[in-house]
Amino acid sequence: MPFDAEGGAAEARLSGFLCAATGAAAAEIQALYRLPGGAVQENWRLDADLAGGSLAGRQSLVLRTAAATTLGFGLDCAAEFQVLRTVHSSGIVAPEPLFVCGNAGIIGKPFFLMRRLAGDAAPARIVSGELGGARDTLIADLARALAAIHALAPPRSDLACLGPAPQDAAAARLAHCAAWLARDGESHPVAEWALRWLARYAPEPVAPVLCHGDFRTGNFLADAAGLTGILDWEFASWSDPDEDLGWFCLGCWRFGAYAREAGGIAPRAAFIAAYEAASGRKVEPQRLRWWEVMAALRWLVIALRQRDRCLRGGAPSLDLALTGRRPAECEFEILKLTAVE
Amino acid sequence: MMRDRPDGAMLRTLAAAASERGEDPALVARARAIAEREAASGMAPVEAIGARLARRYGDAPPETLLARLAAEIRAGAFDVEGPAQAELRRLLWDITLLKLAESNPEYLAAAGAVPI
Repeated sequence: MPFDAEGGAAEARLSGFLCAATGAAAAEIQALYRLPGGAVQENWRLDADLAGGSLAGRQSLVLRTAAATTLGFGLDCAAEFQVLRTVHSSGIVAPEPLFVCGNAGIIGKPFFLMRRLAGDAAPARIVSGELGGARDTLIADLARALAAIHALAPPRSDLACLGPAPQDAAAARLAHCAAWLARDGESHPVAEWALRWLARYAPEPVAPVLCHGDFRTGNFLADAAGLTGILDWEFASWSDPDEDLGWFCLGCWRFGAYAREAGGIAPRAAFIAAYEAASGRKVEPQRLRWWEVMAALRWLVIALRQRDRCLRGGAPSLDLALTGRRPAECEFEILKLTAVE
Repeated sequence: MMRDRPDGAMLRTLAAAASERGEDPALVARARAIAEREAASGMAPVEAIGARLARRYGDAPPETLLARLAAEIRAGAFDVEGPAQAELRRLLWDITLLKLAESNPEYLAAAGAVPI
């Protein structure tokens, strides 16, 4: 953790960064602690009093930085900041990004700062209905937000950080998963089965759009009234819009509310209908099924990588180790989704 | 691996260390519960699946048998619908249900019946 090892030195440098970035005469940090969640990235709550400058007064911020060991794929700090800047300025509900720092001399690694939004991302509180307001309203708001994300299409100079859009996003994802599995060194028969099935039934390519890449319950904030912000943009990419839909509906992201197929919140049909109304695009069930199988395979690959950060990378995290026992959930979904009808 | 890593013994060790570090007690409890379920079922279910694989590939350690199965799937040996694919599906389901029953029985209970 960047702030624990050095006593107050990192905090002092962070205050200096805030002063330089905002023009404040002084920046007094009132609170700084790690927020729960975030296996790939760390999020730190940062409350500071700024004397003068562009952000004078009490500021409630979040500092986002990479965890000590990383997955080996996904956007770096500067690229995620740029994506967040683009989506926020496009009117998508997301935290306002403020400053990015590529200088590892402040906290030991690059980071960016964004405004802290109200709400909580805890899946249990959302699927139980404690947060998010009425389920039909929340699912409609999520569908509208996703349609707005998908309205951003390449080429865009402000999203050059994403690189060139793939001609065939499905083929690219398949190749990526196959390469990671081949590197794993262990046998995964169900994953191999998924690779064959996905290759046999690969969908025709469509025009790529901006995809969030990890759009699911647990990665958005909600308060008692409803959706307050979409979080965690490190997997954003140019891809097939059905990828986000399949990921959102995957059984692994329903957090105990398995029968509510749209994120544990609502029936799948309600989510898809709201998305179709907002996007003006008809969702084909067979394409969605393909991307749901791909979602299960991709989460399986990520789970293996998370496990390796603990078992091979030395990250002392029981959470990461336990993720190594989650591929069975993905395999369950793969076998269910690829069952002969 | 027939079972996913880390296995129950390693989870016990990791849980003890996590407990000393003050990590989330719910995670520690979850790790210990997986280890306990794995110890309770023992090696019998793994050996039963190994025996089914051995009928196809001959005697070898379970991991070798699993690797042969994975290689056959990768080579497309089960792409065509028919008895071989149906038998494969049953086997993959049995392996998956064994793992899920130990790793996350709540998921299995929530998901309900499986379309074998």
